[in-house]
Amino acid sequence: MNFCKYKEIIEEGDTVILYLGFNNMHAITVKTGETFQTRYGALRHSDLIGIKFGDKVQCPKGYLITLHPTPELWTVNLPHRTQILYTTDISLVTMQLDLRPGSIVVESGTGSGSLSHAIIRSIMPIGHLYTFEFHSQRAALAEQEFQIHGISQYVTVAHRDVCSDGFGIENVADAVFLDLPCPWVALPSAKKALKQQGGRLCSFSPCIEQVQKTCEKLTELEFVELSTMECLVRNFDIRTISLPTADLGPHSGEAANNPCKQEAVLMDNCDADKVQKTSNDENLKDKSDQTKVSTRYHQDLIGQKNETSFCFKSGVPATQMPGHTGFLTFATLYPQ
Amino acid sequence: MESTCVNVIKDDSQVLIRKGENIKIFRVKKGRDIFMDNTKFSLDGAIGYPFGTTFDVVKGTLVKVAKGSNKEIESAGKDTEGTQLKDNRDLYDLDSNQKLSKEEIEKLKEEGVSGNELVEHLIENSLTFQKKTEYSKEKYIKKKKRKHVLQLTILRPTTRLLCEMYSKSAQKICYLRVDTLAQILTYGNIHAGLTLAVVDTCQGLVVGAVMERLGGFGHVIHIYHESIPNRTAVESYDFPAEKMKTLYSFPLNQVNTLTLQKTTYEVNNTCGSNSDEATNDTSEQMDVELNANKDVCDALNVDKDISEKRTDVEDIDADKLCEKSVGKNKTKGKRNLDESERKVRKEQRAKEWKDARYLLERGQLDCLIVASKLHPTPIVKALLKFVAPSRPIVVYSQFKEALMDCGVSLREEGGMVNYRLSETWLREYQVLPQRTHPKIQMSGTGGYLFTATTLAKS
Repeated sequence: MNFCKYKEIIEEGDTVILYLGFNNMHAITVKTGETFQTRYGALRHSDLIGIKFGDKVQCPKGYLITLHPTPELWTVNLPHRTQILYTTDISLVTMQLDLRPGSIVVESGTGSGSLSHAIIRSIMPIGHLYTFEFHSQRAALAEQEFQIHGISQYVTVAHRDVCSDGFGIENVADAVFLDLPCPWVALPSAKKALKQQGGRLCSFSPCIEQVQKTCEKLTELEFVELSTMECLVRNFDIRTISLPTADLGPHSGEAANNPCKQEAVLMDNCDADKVQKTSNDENLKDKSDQTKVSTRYHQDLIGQKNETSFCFKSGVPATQMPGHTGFLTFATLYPQ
Repeated sequence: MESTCVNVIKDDSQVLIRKGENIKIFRVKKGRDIFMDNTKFSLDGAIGYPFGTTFDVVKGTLVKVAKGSNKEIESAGKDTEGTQLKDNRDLYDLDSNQKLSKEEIEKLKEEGVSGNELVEHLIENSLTFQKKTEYSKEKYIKKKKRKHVLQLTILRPTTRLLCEMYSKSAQKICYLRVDTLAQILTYGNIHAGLTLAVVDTCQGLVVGAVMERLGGFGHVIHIYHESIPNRTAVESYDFPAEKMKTLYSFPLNQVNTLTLQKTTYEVNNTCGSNSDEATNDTSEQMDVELNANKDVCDALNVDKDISEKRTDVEDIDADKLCEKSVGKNKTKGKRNLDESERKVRKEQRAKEWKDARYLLERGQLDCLIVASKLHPTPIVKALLKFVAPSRPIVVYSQFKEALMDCGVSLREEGGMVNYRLSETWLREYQVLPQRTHPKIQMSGTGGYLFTATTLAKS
């Protein structure tokens, strides 16, 4: 299959994302004869062949959904060999490096290939990724994955330590991405790898001291438009919240003339029409006043209020979230 | 090679001009002056230079800056003695600190003293400069240069730079921030070869960003609000004709007239092998390096008719561009178009809609993006049925509540998984030796996103 090209029907050898729930997905490569254990029981790979991506599959104790792989789904389901970049940072890197079909990109290190998949998706079918990894097993596994995912024609994997040996390529790249412990060491070679007409560079570092050294070196090497940023994602859970109304005790004086019971009914959006009708019956004189009140509340309403509670929908952020991934430093090299 | 010619500034190129933090877009027109920072100058001098070249404005023309010429002045601020101990206890804010009067500065300018030289004069005549710390000297020079040196860099328009430009007038693009747009493109899995629909009321910035990522392969249908599509941003990209071919238009107020063409869908299913062949053709075609730049449509038989019809559509686009570039006098004349011409236009538009309608009604969209100032739920509900199974949808809104409504309604209807409502936060840093900290100002909001994945229709 080609990971980066949608197809309709699942075939032997395809990578499929099995969706069991929002944070419960698995990536498998379909191979007749194999089975996959899920919490809904065993799934025979052969049962997937011939059905469509997006179809439901019945397992002994429930069903799961087959999804077409995307670099984003791969990122959350890939086998970790290293720390990886997640989609929030990946998106910004892709945008800030000006990636598009035809871009030639240099990346180091390959790691678990999370970013590599996203880069390849954005630059194919006429671009190319040169990715460098100093760990031989990781380089080999990445190469194997690219092959299985049918995207190996867009990528060259090299087992090489770019800090000590350099990239070994000159005047080829539109963009360079560095995720190294000492990126400043690789910068002179990265500069050479960029095309003479200039290009963009990104360095990802978790620590500010690394950023500091990188920026000094970038300035020395005549990179311009340096900009360092951090990007975090907040997910919201859409929930219905009901806050109990406090018992403020009995009314006295002026407030007693303004019965709150009636107000509570008026504030109820759904009952607005009903209220108008009843007020008609009760007291014609009050009608105009009450209509006014009800329309006002109609606009103000952000939830439902009654005597005992205030009920509304809210986007609730998680109480714990990742507060730091890394600093992304971008720079431009103008034509030489 | 496309890359080499694309990289040179030509007459009629769209260019972004960066001066410090300020970015503006212009179209190079030989002999025409532009205004920037209260200065009038012509861009003629830039023609023939590669994008990314820095120029000085000298007497209304552009002169390429020699490399290294900026370095001397910066070293003027460098102090050889150990002056880290200096502080500002003896510095007072007095007009007399600068010996040169406003008039004298103006006179120097008139005499043709260059910006850099003028800054040197200012340093020489500053009573306080030498008492400043190294850091504040640097700041002083930077500030004076910003004011007196008219130096600018000409850049090729890209999504990144256009976002930076629009960030100063974010209301035009529904407060869509660069990182949010970046998320839209990745969560939409936008890449070469897709067919997708984009509802965009952000000046066409989202459509343009998608077209950049399609790179001339695929189809994007801009579903537009109001009577004519507003795509100022798309024009800024200066896409060549073959990339403009990937763009189709369809009005929002005709969406309810769309019906899913079951027949096409079934044909595709039953003759699985046939359609597979077609897709294989496309991928092969796409693999043929660079040559593939010509429309992928050729490979897909179904699309052949469309690409033929497209020629007419291009004519309209060209017309529109002409109208835009000509001065205001001509726009008056536009109103006086005679009846027949108006009729021709109407027919052309109808033809364009027909192509878009065909692509939509096939029900094989690879992605749906809604990024607008409108209530998103009805739009998403109306278009969702045209999206193929296991494909992402991405909805942007400036307001979280609008997307909450979208999320709740779609969940009720079912038929999707991976619902996600999110927001990104972007903080920039000043990185300088001993002075690294987050920037004092940051964007408070870049809007919200709702994403989900479609399933097979049962």
